[in-house]
Amino acid sequence: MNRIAVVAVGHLLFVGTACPSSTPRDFPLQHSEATAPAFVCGPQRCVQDYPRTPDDSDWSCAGMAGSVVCLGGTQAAGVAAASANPRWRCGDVVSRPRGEHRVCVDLEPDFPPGGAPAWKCHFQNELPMRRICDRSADHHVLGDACSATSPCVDGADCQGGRCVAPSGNPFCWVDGDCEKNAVCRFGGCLLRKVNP
Amino acid sequence: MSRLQRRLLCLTLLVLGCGSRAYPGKTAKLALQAQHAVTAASVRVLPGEAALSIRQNGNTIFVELDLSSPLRQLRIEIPEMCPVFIDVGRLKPGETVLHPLVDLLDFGPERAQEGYGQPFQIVVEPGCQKAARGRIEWKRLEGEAPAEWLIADRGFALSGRLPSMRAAHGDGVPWGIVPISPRTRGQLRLHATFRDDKGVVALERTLSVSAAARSTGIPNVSVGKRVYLGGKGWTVRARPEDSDAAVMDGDLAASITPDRAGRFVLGDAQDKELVLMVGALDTTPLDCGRTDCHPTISSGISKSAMTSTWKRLFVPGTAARDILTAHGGAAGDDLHCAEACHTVGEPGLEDGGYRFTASALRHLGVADRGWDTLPSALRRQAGVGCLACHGPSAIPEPTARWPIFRSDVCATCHDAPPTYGHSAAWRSTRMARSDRNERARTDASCVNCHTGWAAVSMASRPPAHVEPFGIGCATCHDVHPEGGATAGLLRALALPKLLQALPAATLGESTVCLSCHTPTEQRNQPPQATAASIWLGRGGLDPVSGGPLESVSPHDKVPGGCVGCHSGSGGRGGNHSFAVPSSACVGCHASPPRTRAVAERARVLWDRIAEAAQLAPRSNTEPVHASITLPGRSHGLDQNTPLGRAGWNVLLVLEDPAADRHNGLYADRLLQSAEAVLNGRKGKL
Repeated sequence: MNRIAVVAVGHLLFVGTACPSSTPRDFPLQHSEATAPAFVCGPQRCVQDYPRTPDDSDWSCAGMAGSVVCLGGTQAAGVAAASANPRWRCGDVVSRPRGEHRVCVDLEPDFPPGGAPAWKCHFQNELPMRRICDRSADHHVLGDACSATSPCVDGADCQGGRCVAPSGNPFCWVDGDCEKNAVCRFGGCLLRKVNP
Repeated sequence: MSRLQRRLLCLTLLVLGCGSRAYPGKTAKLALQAQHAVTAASVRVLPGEAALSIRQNGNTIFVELDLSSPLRQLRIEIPEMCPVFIDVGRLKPGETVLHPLVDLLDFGPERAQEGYGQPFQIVVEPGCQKAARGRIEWKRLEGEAPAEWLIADRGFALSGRLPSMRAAHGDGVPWGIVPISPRTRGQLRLHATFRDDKGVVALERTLSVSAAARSTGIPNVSVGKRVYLGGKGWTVRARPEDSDAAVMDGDLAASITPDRAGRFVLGDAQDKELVLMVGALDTTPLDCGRTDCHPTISSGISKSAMTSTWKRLFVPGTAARDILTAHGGAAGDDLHCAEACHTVGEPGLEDGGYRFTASALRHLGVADRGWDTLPSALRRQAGVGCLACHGPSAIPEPTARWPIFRSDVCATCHDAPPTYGHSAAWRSTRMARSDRNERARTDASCVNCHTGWAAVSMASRPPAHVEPFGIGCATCHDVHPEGGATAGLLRALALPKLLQALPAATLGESTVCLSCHTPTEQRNQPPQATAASIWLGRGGLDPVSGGPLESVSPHDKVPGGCVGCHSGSGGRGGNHSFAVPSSACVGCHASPPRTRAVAERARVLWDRIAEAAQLAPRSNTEPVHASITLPGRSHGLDQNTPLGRAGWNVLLVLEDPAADRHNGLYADRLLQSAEAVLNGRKGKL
């Protein structure tokens, strides 16, 4: 990844004589996906107003080991349709009325510089939604190195030495959406570990 | 490498061909970051050899530079931005350097509510020397020439005074929240052309200064929006705990600027209350479509043209995009001019609307990147969604819901002549005055066709002290039809019984007019509003047999039906005057049809019928239907008799002042039938 340096304007001001110039060159602009809403950062906390959501509806979201899990469902009224955003994996919450409660997971959400390992994020779900990230050095996230002696967070699998979320579309939001002996992690139900 | 060495190398390369990639693989990136979305179509790099590629992501333009190029200094020019000078020699391979872009000129914030009669000033700040050396020419696009108009400092300073509220609204405003449209907000639209020191046009900008923010007149309002109050003696009776908002006196109307979200209770000198529901547009959920609320409406509105009015601007070749361009949409790059009426919220207010959110997301002025790449928070506000008409915050109390039926709601966009002349045209119609008569707005038999509220929702009767507001937009247009959007968002109304046998193609767009312009078949009542009956040759009675007396309709094939002839005139929206231009007849008639004096003939016949039936005289005090104001008690006609049926036929004609034009043949036949009875003829006509 490229290093990003913020350089004062003055440091880059033109000085000296330019190379005898050839012709200027015009570049038609090409556009790509909209950038992530910016984080506004202090030393220990970054805040992202209007964070990404699975679609234009009202959502409640939570951070989970470097991923984002959101619950919503009712289509936003009076908003023109947009294509589904492929970054989100979505499914109906099986224990609730179909179409009314959808759960979506983003395994690679936006983070301030340093990425998921450096920040622990949560959501302020009252509108307008806001994502708040606090510096944290001692939490585990998807993508962490793992081994037999260094397990992943609950619900993640250790594959090729890295913690990954289970594949498949999510179908639970809270533990109550799962069977009695299971908990909800990354949108999937995970059997509780039974202590010997 | 020393500077001298580099210059020598540069000269060598000039001979060999300056710009060849002598040292491939050594690149760095510049991330040129604007405070808003860059609307430029192209970036010019000088000299071009140093740049390998340029791409844009949101507000940032990434320039990939070849560090192996002997070129040291780089100038990057982006339209409407200050030029960027880069010393390539200071960049390191693999590095991405953020570099802020500065606007050539800063025109300051949108001035949405400067106050009626208040002075205003625009001071343009140059972003760099290039800008400071130029000059700005101003042109007034819309609005009266302001008083105290002054342009100074080579156009970088402009000032004036906005019109008074009386100048913008006339002498009266209605009780309660004063509706404010683009026409009445005291708006001045200005066009600025910036020329650099060489006289080259480097930037053009359209901006506006307004005395007041637009208002639908409904009690759901945004925090920070100044609300004007018609009536006298307003005071604040209750407000959120931490609010300091107070009523300010004014020339024509008092005003209040709610400073907190929540419920404000205001009272006037007559002890009438007004409850404001105050909030922000981006804190109001869009879950109206929940199964326990409005699922069918929500589903229907998703396909509405109102909903997609912003989305369609992204699609070249669509009518919406063409209209935008025709109205000066700067070749489609700058959509600012369309924001106020194609999205939710008021540009210039911190109301949580589209412009506010776009500004917070640094996503202003984006046109070309496509609907799907807009952030969700923006798409929620992009289009004329629920909150554009219903406002933010909570659902108003039942007694406060009537203003949604005033045409003032639509007027916040459609009263902007000459661009949108719908409201102005509608105000010239009799429908705009249909409830001035007290009986028309209170009698249960009248309100369905004489008031905008009863036509849609009997539960929304306004209080008695509210001024009449006529049959408005929502009577004919259903912006969120439960069965899905219709052409022109026309309300899908059931056909009157009299016309149900006619093929749908005959009626077309006229269907929405017919329920109020066709007489009911209540034979014990005089016929009222008979235009459709005459037009389509239906509704008369054979005086002898009592069976239907019908006729062909010469105009039933006119495309569009009623509005085929009642097409109005003037610019966009002028069709809502529903007047018949003389040109409407010319396609089929060599000259406009002559008047057949049908009305006079019918009056004479009516006098004879009233005399023959010995109807008691009555006063003509109410300016309502012809059949009621005629001499004689029409209710007294017995339609089981030939004379009564003849009277019915004459009233059908009298009730339609344009009977001779709608269907002169049928009017003639109806009158002949009455004449036959009065002349003692027998037999079927």
